Amino acid sequence: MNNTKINKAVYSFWTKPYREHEWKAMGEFRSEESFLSSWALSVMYAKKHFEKVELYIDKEGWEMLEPLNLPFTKVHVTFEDLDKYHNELWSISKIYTYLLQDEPFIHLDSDVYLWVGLPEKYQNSEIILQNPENGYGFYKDMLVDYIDRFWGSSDVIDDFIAKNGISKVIAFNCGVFGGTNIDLIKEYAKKSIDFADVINEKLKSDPAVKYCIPCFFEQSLLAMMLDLNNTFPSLVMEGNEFPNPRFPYTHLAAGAKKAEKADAALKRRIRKDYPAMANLIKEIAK
Amino acid sequence: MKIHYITYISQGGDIDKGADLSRLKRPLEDIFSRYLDRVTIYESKDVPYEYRKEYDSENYECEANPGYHNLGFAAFKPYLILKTLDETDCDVVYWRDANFIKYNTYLNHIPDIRETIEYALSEAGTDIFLPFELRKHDIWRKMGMSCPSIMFDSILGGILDCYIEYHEINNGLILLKNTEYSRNLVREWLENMSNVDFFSNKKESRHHNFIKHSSDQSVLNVMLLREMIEGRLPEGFPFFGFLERDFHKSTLEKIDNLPHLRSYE
Repeated sequence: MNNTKINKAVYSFWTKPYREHEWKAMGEFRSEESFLSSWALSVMYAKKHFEKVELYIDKEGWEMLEPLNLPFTKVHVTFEDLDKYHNELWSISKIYTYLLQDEPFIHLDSDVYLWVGLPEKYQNSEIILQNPENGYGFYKDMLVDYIDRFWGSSDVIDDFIAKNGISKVIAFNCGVFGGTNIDLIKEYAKKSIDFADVINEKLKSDPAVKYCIPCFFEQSLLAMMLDLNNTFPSLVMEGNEFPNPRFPYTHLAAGAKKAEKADAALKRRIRKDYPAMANLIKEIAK
Repeated sequence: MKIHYITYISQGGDIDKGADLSRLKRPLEDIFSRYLDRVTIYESKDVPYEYRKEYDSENYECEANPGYHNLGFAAFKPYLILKTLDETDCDVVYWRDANFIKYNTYLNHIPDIRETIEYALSEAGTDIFLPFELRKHDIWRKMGMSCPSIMFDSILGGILDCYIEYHEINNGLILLKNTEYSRNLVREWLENMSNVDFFSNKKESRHHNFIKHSSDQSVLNVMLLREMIEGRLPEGFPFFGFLERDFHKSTLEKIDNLPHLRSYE
């Protein structure tokens, strides 16, 4: 287990789901301007707090982001092989990114803004996550679907069900994910990818996939693995407390970014904090 | 104590008239074989047709469990339990209904299942254990709500208020020590399952408390009542109910204030 501080933020962007899914175009933002503004705001703030800010991306994605000249310390144009995956499996690029890390890191979604960096108590955390996602019915549907179609495909999920049954449904939102326990993170990423491979194969003959399977093999499988390992993550959001006063950040998760108010606030913020970048984005998005 | 877990999954389609539960076979085998000594998931091919035969829906549809008449009101259950008791080298046979998708709690606490089984049998002090049926909102089901008069008349010789008021037992979960007593009891249960009059939905065979028929469970309930009245099981049996069908040492609830049982004679 590593036990050093987290000095690295990583981002990932695989464009296939965006290219092939109208509903995911521009990451569900209201416009290209908002989409690019979010990337810029997230990365510019991350650069204030972390020595390294790295991006894992495919060629098409880099063509979109390169003109912004964002302060990445390293860019890995590396996701071309991921196009073998079905476009429903959009979280696979995040998981590959986790697997590629060899030092403590935090992965940020491009709709997450870390206003003041990692508070001291999180800097050595084995595992950092956003918050538990309890009470979402679709995770239960996924568990049942797993039994129907995939039993035996993931030792993590099999073991979890054997231990806990199917009444207990758990998941963590991974808007923020990382930590110092690189061995555990790599093990999780391998198991998640193995299961995603099975799903990907299944999708070729059985297209009746549930829409949130990516959340299942990313967020639920992770929670199950932590449960089986008796590992308790540090949570950015504690319970339903939002925002957490000890960890001021914003995540325009899922549909939140579509709200008119959130969209306006995002544009206001980038105009205020980074006016030149805001102008550049306006030019590019014309 | 060696424990043999058994259950039955219907397969639907052309095989039987039940729901298709075949996808549950492998998970059930995988999960229970981690914790118990033997696991057998029976299928329709293991059950002679007479124990899963179809009854006509006009005379035998069952409000509490629609379609149950298509599978012989679960006569396969005593058949398979008896078959296992006769064939197994284990000390205890543990039956649990299979459909954990419908009843999520069936898979709760499985890592503790051996301890829970030993605890339940030890607390009951009997060769057989099955818990009282507990419905939601703490309302206990009474036998008079689910057993038609003809069962009381045939098995107990008539009906008394203490029979009607006795709590109903849930036979989705049954523990049996592999003894002569257990085998005889299950054999009689199987024989009683061939009495088609027990399952008729004719209104005239029901007393005023009757609400919904529990079929195979009702038969066993009345038989267990008789066992208590005749002293082969202690009065108050099985002593425990469970919450939401969740079987664990911590969820078994001791039940007092049961009616004192008397003989009809």
